[in-house]
Amino acid sequence: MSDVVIRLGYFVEGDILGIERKLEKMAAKGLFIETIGPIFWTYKKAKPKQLKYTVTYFKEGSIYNCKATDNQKIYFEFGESIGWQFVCEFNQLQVFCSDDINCMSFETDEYEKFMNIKKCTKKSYLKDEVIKVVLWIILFAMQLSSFQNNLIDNLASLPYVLGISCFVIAISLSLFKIIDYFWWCKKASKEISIGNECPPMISDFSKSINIGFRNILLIVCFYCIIAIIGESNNLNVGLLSFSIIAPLLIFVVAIKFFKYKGYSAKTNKILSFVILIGFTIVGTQMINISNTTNIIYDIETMQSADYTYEKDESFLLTYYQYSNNVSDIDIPIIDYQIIKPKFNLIYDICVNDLLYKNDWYDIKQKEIKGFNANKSYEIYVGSSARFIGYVILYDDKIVNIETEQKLSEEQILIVYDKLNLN
Amino acid sequence: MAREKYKTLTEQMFYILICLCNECCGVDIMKKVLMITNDRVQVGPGTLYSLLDNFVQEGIIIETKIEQRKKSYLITEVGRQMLENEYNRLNTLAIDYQKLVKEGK
Repeated sequence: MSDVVIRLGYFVEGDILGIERKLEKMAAKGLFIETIGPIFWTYKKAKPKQLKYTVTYFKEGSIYNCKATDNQKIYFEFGESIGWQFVCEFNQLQVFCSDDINCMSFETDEYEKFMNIKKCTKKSYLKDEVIKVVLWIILFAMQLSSFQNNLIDNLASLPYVLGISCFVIAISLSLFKIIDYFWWCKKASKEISIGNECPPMISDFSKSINIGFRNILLIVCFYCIIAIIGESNNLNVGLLSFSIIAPLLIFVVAIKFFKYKGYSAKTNKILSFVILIGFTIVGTQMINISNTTNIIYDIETMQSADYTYEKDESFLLTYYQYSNNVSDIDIPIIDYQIIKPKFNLIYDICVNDLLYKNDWYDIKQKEIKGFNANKSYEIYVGSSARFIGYVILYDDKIVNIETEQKLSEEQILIVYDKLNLN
Repeated sequence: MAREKYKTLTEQMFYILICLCNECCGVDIMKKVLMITNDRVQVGPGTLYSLLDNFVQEGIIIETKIEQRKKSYLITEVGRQMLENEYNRLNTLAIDYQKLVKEGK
């Protein structure tokens, strides 16, 4: 039976105390840490033992290093000389353990400890969060601009709304981390200047917020994937999953491969990032391919050469669209959309989008008896004031009727009845 | 020239510099400090590494030799001056205490 155990290492970056306590608890259960990764940690099974762990920052530590640097080895030797055995590292985090629970602290000067953490985190933690927040904002802005182009349709698309929500949560989390970091710097300087200990970089409060945000993000991502599966066929899901997961997996494998080959940290970093970017571009192309494949609609959806009827639903609104493609001169062409917003704010946004988004619309509010609506509008376009349809507002729904000619009273009654507008 | 932050020295800095009045390697400094202060002052490995690194950058100490990754250091003239300044500062404090508190003048 293997004596290696792999567990999820669900830790908050910078929570040194939390990691130390966790490793001590695991050692007391007979699981001794061997490697630390961003997701999985490996432990070795042995007889339970009370060990003391300490986690420190070392500026030359990096996931791209193929072996410990000379200075790092000196650092380990300093630790060994007083009983701290080096165990493993993750990026700049260095994990040491000692049999002696009264072993001298690794850091005995609070100011130097603070300066060391600050120096190291500026190079990794802070830089990473700033890059992430910039990247998320750029992606969010790109998504938002395409979102606005087809606002109502996108508000009704659950994967789209959840995808946008993921960006908002990720941006909030990174911004929180950056603000919290500077707040910690300020607090630590103040505490040390009056002779107190350097406070932990991640307080219990920030830890809860971090975990809270992260859990929400995971749940939203999970529902987003479920929503994509619900709207797509297997090929779509396969391509989409592959296009997102594959570049990340290849990136991790590339780092390990270049480490194994003994490449320098700098070369490893450059090559791995080139591979990540390359595969991300390939992945994006795959998403485009996946978007062109068939979509399975629910039972209420109908498509034919002459008519299209679709229903989309998100937690914000339900959207029914009907369009008529019959080119028969005797049949009036009527397309319609029924929007059922679930919140007042979404109702207002939809009304605004239908009536005021297009500058070239000329809107006339008019009471149209047959519709029995709260408000009804006739829409005209162009200098010739060509009639293009109606927007009708009810308490719980908005109806957009696109037709090239005004409906007669009789036709309005038929539409009112057929569309169940009562 | 040393930065403002080394205008006064912490106990750990003071004893590290005292140890480095004679050539000494990093690991030995920790033991030496414990010995000369009867275990009163402890210099942890993380702190020692940071301080030695900073001292070298500031020209307070120099690396003299590296034998199988064992780096040895020696105090420079800048470092000696800092030690001297600290000694004078502590002496002034002691004299003031003697005069104002013990003798009550």
